[in-house]
Amino acid sequence: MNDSLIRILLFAAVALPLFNALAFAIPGVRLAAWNGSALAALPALVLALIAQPGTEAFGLVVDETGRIFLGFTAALWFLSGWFTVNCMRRERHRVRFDVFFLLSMAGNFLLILARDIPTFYAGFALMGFASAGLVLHRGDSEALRAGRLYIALAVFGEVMLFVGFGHLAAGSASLRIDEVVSSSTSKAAIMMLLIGFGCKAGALSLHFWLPLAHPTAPVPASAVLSGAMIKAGIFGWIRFLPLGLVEWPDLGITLIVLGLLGALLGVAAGVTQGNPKTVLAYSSLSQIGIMMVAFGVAFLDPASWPALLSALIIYAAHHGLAKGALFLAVLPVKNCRTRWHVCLGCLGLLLPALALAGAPFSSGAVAKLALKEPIRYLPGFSAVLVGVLLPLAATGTTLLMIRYLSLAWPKQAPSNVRTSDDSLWIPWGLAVLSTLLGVWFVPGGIVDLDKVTTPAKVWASAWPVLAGIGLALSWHRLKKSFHWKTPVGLPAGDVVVLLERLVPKRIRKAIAFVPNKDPASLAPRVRVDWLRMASLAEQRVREGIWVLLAVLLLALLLSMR
Amino acid sequence: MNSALLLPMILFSSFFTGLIIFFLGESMHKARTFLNLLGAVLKVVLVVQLLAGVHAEEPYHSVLKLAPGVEIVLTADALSVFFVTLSAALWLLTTIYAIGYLERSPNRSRFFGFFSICVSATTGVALSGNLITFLLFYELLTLSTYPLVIHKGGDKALRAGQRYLAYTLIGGAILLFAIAWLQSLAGPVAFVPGGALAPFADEHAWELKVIFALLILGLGVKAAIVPLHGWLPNAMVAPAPVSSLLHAVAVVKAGAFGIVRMVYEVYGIELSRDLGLLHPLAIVASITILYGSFCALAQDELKKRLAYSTVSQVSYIVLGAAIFGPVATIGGIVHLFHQGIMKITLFFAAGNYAQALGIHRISQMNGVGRKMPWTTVAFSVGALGMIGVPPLAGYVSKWYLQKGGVEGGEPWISAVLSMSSLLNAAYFLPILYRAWFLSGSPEQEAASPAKRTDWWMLVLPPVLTALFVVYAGAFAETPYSPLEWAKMIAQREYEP
Repeated sequence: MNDSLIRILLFAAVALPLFNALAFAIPGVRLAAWNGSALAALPALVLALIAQPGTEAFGLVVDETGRIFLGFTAALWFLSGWFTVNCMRRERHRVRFDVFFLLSMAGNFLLILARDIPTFYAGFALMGFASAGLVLHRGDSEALRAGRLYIALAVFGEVMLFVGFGHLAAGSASLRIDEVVSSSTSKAAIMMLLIGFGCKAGALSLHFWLPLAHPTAPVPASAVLSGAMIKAGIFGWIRFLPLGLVEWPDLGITLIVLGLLGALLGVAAGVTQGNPKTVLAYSSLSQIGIMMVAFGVAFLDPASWPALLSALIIYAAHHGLAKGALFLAVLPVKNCRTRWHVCLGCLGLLLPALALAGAPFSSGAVAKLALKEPIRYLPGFSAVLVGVLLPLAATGTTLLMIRYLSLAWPKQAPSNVRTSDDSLWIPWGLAVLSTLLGVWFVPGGIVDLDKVTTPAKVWASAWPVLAGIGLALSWHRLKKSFHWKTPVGLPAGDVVVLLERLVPKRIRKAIAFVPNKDPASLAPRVRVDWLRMASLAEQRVREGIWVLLAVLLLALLLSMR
Repeated sequence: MNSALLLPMILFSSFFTGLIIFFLGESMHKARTFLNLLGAVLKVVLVVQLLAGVHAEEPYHSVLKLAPGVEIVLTADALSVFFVTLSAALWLLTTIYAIGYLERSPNRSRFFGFFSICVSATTGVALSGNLITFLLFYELLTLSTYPLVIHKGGDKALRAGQRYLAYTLIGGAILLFAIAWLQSLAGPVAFVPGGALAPFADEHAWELKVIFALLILGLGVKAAIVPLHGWLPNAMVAPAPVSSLLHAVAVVKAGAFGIVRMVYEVYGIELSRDLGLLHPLAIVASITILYGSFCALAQDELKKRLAYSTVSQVSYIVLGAAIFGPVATIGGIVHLFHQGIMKITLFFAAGNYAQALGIHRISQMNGVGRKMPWTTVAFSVGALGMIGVPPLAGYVSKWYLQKGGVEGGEPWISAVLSMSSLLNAAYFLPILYRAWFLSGSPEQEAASPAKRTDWWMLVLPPVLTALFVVYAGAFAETPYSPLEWAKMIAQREYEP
């Protein structure tokens, strides 16, 4: 492959979105910048398709893992960018949105391509801070609540990463990620990195920003938040944890338990939601839980890491693309123009939903089977894990998808309502298509078609889905025949809401989880009583200290003989 | 150029122009601007020459004998050139800014006269080669800054000036006392890489410890170490260019620079460690870092919040000096530069808000991003840099400080640094949120910046410094970055 072309693409992958964002500063080219932002992710996408693993330039590198992550991430950014240009053309703060969108994009590509720790961290931070602008975009009190939580978690995560990277790199002269990770033995670093990236991935116990932020952000932003950006957390774990090198059973078990709990709780909380985007957010929590199990297994049995890694990559790609397609669907199918649109919309919703549930022959089935392979050989409780809990999670996902479909089902628009724009259907349609085809193109022969189409495998992926459908149907029948009312939904953001209810109002106000009438009054609200007391003390110190200094000086002078 | 002349020329390039400016009439605007810029540009040109020379390890040494044993010595080593470069470059920008800022205000000749002398004193502090010279310029700095602090006049300014003098003069007196004591023990003390006091350690260990405490006490007033920081938030009544100068270029920096000099070149880092001086200093610095950030949270006045942020950030420099090991040294010294460029960006921007829209409080800042995009972008870069967001300058300092802490066996430093980052985020991010995402009350929205032809003089300096914040972080590994120079300094300190 042409070497200089690859170098140009490496540079452009990160630089084009950045320059595109900067171009908005020049008044004359704003329109061009707006339209051009649809293409900003293209160099990264092309790079992922044609680069040979191991290409290095400008402190950036494309390796096998990075290439696949870059591939599905760039595809999603590209389609969402296209979607943005079409759907936000008339919005008031569209330029601000696009700038934050492009900056997050650049950060996301930079972190995937980074060769050194500082480069990675710069990309991660750029993505984290800029994407807060996407969550805050709507500007109402709900967006403020979600955005505040998002930023708080992002900053907390960044600080954890800062400490983690510091411990990882201590004593090492190199800053190259691969060299640092293979030479470090610090357990503190592992913990910090787990927590730091966990905030971004939305791992259970650090997930509560997720169901608030995803529904609040505009549709294309939630697609990349959920499809691409939380995968950056997974990518960080893959890149920085000494997986396959360190055996740490306690941590492994903890991760498996947290992951399974997340997988199940995500389902339990998600099926009670009334907003399709919130349902999808909880589904992300559940899917990330399943990926966490894989990381736990790697700490239990380091030898299984290579197989787990390829499974995780497929899983991440599959989930990213399917979740992106489902998020993008929300807008086009809302008010369809004709009955043809309704039919197409149903198909476009069903395909990624089935894939996510893991129906046979779908990308989800491939991903789930690939993940089960290495776990099977674990001794002890693995049988329970593979035989019961993981299929249970698949059944749960099916329930979630049914809930989502029932909420987002396409309808023809009433005559007095504006129909959804036809131009949105193309990027969305491509997203659905990529869900169907994406995983089959994963290079390196990871996916073996013959292996996943045996009758036993087909049945293994089919029964959890069928069980889910059966459960949903019987629940529906029961509800109807006994005239049950729909149970009260769990409020989105579960733990936060609980905290909000439990914690006294004063403290709640202090830590600013509750929006006031004036959403802007952040600074005054921090000034709770204890802080005022501190200010008073500060005043005393400032008034008194120079008297003390004078006395000291006098004493010194008197002591001179 | 004769190397013996270069140092005095750097010193006097601003001093003489300052003296002439005093005698210019108030209306001689063009002559004053010309002299100001002449001095500033000349200084930058000379400093660039000095930089090249010091990089090539050429010796620079100028001596003026006053009396037996009392010599005024100017030298240029890597550390002093680092500080001189910072002050010369930022002084040029601040001069441009001040000309734009004070265009229509009275007493401009007095202001610019003292302004120039203040910078000359800072240069002297940086270039001084022994303790006596250091003390001389340090006191000159105190006195020449006072008229700048009270420049606006009025009750509030006078009271702030009074407090400034009370603090710094007493601090100066303690410093004088400590230096005199030290001289009586060890004779005239020159600044030498690796320290000059090691031969006296066995005999006078106890005295050296007390003197060190007194030196820190004396220098800590200017460096705003808690609880000696009280003057700094009050000095905020001064005009914005003065605040920039106080916080980024001259006064606070002179204190921090002094502490660095004492630790590395008077005591020597190894002697300081052996005497057990570093650990207490690290604790004091950590307390200051956290306390300053905490107080910043409670402020609604923008400049006061920035002032407390300075209290916190300057102690990063002290913290770097208080951890043994070259990595931490790099982190501390490079922050001398990084804090300067970040904080001056923030103060320039704060001044612009006050000048253009009359905004002094954070609660009035809703929607300023839309009205003054360039200033607000610069402010955002400065604020994010302060939080330590990569790839900006503040991140580089924090990274080296933490690495130095972990490698030097003081992992608790990471906890202090991460707490500080969280607090920084807590007091800077709400400002950015207001500026970019909220819209103000109708009357605020209606106000728009007055159109001025010389507006570039106020906007260009913060944009340039913000660009440099990005450069110093993103290109830290390239030659000519502050980090590379700091590495050179650390290398020369540890292998004299």
